Amino acid sequence: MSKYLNYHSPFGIYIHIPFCESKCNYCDFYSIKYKKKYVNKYMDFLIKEIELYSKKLKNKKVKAIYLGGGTPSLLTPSEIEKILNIIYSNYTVLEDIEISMEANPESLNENKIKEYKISGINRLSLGVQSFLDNELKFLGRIHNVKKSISVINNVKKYFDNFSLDLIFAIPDQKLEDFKYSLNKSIEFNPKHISLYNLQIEKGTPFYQMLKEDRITEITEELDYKMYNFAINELKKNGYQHYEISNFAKQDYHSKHNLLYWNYKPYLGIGPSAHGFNGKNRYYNIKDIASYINKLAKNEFPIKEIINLTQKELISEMMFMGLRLISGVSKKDFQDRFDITINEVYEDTIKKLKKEGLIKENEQNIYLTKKGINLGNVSFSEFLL
Amino acid sequence: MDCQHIRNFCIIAHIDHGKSTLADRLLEYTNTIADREMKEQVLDNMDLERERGITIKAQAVRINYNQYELNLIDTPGHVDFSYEVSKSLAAAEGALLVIDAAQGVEAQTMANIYLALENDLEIIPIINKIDLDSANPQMVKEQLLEIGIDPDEAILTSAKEGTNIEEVLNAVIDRIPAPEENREKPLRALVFDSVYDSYQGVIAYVRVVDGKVKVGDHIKMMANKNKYEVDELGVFNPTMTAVDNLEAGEVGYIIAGIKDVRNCRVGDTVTLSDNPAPEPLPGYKKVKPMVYSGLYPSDNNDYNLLKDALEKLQLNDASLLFEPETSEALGFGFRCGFLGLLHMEIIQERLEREYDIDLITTAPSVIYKVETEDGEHLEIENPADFPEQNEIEVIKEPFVEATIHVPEEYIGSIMELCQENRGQFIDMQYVDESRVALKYKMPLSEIITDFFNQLKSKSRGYATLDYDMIGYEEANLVKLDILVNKEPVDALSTIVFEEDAHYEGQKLVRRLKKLIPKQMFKVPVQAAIDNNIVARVNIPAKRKDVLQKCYGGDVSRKRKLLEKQKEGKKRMKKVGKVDIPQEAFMAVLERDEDE
Repeated sequence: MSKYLNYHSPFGIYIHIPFCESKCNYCDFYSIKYKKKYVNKYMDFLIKEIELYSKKLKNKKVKAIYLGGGTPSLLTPSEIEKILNIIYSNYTVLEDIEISMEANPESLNENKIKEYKISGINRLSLGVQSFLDNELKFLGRIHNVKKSISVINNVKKYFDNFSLDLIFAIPDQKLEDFKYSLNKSIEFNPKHISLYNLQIEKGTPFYQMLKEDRITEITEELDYKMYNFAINELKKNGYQHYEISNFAKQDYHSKHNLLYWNYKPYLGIGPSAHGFNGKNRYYNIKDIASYINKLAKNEFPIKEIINLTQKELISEMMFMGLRLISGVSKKDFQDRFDITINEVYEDTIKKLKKEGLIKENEQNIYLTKKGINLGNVSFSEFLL
Repeated sequence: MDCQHIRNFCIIAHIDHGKSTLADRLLEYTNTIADREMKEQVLDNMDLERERGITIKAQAVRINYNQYELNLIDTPGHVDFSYEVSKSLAAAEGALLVIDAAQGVEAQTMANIYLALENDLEIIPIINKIDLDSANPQMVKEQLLEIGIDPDEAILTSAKEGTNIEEVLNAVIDRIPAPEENREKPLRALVFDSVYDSYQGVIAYVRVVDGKVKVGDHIKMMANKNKYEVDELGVFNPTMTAVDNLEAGEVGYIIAGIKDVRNCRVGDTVTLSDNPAPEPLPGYKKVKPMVYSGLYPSDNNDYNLLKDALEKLQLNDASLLFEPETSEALGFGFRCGFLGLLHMEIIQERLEREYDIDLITTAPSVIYKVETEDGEHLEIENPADFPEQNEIEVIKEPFVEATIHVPEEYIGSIMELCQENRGQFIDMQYVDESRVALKYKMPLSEIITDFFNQLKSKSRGYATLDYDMIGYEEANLVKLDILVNKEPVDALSTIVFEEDAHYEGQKLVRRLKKLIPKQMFKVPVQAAIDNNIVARVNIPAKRKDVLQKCYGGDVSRKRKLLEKQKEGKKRMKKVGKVDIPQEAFMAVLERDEDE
């Protein structure tokens, strides 16, 4: 039986801020149009949810907080401070806690950046996405390159730790276009860079455009070239490729996201947020009104709790862990499941090694360079 | 009932002209069935039939009306089942010919009229759907005149609205001759359909032509001489109702402990074993499948499941043949024989739907007759079994006479299509002012590969097709082999016309490139004739397949994605090192977008 039950080890708190000024063409996360009065009401119940969990949990050691969205930077620094204060007063916040916030350049100015820092945020993740205006427009972003640049320069004054998010594999994007945006990002010398290839998800404007043949996805070959150019270029510039989509300077790996990949617990707060206690997963109601109604009745706004079997836990630890370039720790696996990886996956490991997709050493099982590019092939093989 | 008060009739019609609806109204009007029992179209009782709007199994219902016993014999409505149609017709003395008042006479109408005339049936023309805005009964009457049927005898109906149903019933009584009174002769009963019931065994639908049969009689099937004792006799009114005996002129069913429909085939004659008739009724033939294809479970573990399912289907369908077959590529499966493409599709669909088996189907094939250098005569229904090219002396393939009815504006494109499919023009005649009947001699193999779909698309759905076997003729054919990753895939072999072989090879490998997903390595796909490569494409190696998005801790979503990927892979067949999806084995039937 699995150990680490019920937030046994220090955990993360993901907080979803479901407000946006406008919806991007590729985004399928839950969000609603920003309105001040919604935010006020939402804040009350968000806080209530945080308090409800604190009453329920025995262990309250928090090692990372992540404000994601939506657009968390639509909340004022004092609103952010209010949320963090609630956490500080209800949980045991570890001293070296990472407190990340996603931010859209359009919603930032120097003063706000300074105030966020004062409120307690110690890591900003900036959704710059591209350094070409035509691409930003196509993606449906409301900021432009000029704004990004001024924001990054201001962020640098107050934040040592910030990340730039880039999207690539945009329809019609040329390799040169992506190289430009990547090099531009590197010029700012951020501690962290995330790279996501564009996924066209159901229910988004892009999905509709694709169906109507108004856009075409870029070829697998070009996607491959962009990604592998980035891997090399970032390495040259002192970034460690530590997870499939993430690159960071030494000691600046995202602590919160590492909880996901190391299959450690995290609370999910806010509508549509996902949580994991080390044994079961749950996710919250999406619709903000229903979310509020639940909490008004002092009930958890949970849509579904997913009880995971031992097999499911094992599979998930593998396909999440293999996303890390260092791979899955054999010792962690055995500590957790009282059986070794090699016992569970003897044939799979043999097969994938033969195909050149994974390697292993004394400590870890990890993806090869080829395996990183073909991650899903390996991940699906580890499903039990 | 004395013969003077019996009428046996069937309804013939082109698909969708309202045959089943008219049958429903006749049953309703005569209170044979109460409204509340009335499912829409009572006679079509299989789901698949309802969905496709066609009748597969013939049935018979007794209607009591004004002291008369009217037996309505339903007929299947598709060319694949024309033998069953002809036997249903042989069980009757008259036919209601239903014609859609808006559509007029169609290919199948004609085919059915000919069958009815062959069986010497009295034809009562019914112009149906007169409620439609587009109805044009006058046009239909003119068409009737052209095909030699007196338009003044036509009855105008709207089966949907129940108009003139009484007139139809009276015409059946007045115009259709009573059956002959041959009750003193030895028993001869025509089997015009049979179904299998898991409790009672085979239920044979019969028309007693001569003599009589009663419960307890010992009967003999004249085709294979098997003997049985009659357990139950009955009629359908419309549910099964037992009776003590059936006499010449009557229509009903016999249950006699027959365990297999193959022992009670359509067209067979039932007689008494202690007083047998000297001759069976004319026209019995064992229906031979014309189209063959390989059916394989996509999961090899389902082999026995598939076998059981085929056996169960065969209980009700004597024309379905199957025998075990092994393919290097697909493993263990069955080579199955079907009456035609529709029959094949119906069986496949039933296997997948009713028995929940994932199937891999190979492209349909006809039976080729091959004479080898050594003087051997082979009948080959699986292209993979063809001898080497240099061992073959002669190949013969089945030819049909295809009759295509089409509005005149499509003549050009349909003639072109026939020629592309090796059709030889025989005849063209105007059926009426705007429609023609085209006759072509064509290889059956061309008809069973997508011809019908193309015919429909090139005529915007207006063309209809009917065909009759002519016989075997020599043809210049070669086997086209497909190699995937340098290994021949037996299940992808096809027989093609030699002149087209290179072109067909190129087309096929191009289609396979679209259908076979990228693998972890480059996969060459080649077409070969007699071990010579005639076409090649490469499927490039898959280089990138990784989900990069984080989804904010939503592990479920990642998991679902991976599970879908795993499931997709499971549904493919591993041939050598290559995963090939099910659709690829039907690639011969696919059409390229640019074609």
